[in-house]
Amino acid sequence: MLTALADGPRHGYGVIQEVERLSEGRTRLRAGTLYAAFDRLSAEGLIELANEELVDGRLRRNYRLTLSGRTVLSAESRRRMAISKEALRRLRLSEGSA
Amino acid sequence: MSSPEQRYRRWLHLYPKAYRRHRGEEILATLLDASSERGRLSPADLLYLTVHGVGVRWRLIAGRWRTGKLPRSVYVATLFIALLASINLLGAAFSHNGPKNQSSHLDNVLVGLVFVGLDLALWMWKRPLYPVVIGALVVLTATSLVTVDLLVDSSAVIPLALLVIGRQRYLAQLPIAELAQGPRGMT
Repeated sequence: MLTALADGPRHGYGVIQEVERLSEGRTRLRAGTLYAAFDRLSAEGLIELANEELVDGRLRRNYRLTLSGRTVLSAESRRRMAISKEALRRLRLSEGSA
Repeated sequence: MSSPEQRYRRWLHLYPKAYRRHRGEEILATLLDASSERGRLSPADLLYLTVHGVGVRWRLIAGRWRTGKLPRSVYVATLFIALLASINLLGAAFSHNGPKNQSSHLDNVLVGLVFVGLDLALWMWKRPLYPVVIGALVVLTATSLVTVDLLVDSSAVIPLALLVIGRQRYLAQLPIAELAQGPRGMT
């Protein structure tokens, strides 16, 4: 979800769509799950309200990453990247010795 | 037939009023966006909405309980009903001698579970539904005169009396009625 907000603010349904796109359709967030996560991430100071607007009479609130959210996302991405690199290195090693 | 917006607004009543004021219109917009793109909401959408709504209510109540902001009568009545539930469920568990035993004390289990439900209802339901809770307690107490131990019967009278006598004070200070003020919006 943090990744979905990394390139700019999004509203609730925008996040749902982006998560589905990023996961290539494997993860489909529901509204209940989305707002539970928004509550938690807001409480942890990782996301914040960017602005709100009325579109076709519907309230849209756009959320964005806070500085802390960017830091957490960056650290977690580096950690996962390191694990992925290590996994690929080991696979290459095992293929070479086979 | 009601419109999707009307139906989803009804579902939003799963959330406490203050939360609806804060997030209701926003969640509604997301539900409408999702349903307009996918045709309609799936049962899973509504299930997750229910889980979140009940979860928000529960956290609110638990917060009130921890910070000691509830009147004494709420604590006492809730603890008594929880005690009744425990007596019924534990009694049934200890006296149960296996599925072949004709006296399996299923009635005690059921009464215990209903008491658990009533306990939750006392915390979560709104004022207009409160007589239903009292009525259910009366019926349960009357039923248990036949089926449950004398101890349970006599102890059931105490929370009932507490609830009736302290009704105004109890109702006026239920946690849902005291939620923090949010920005004006849907109710």
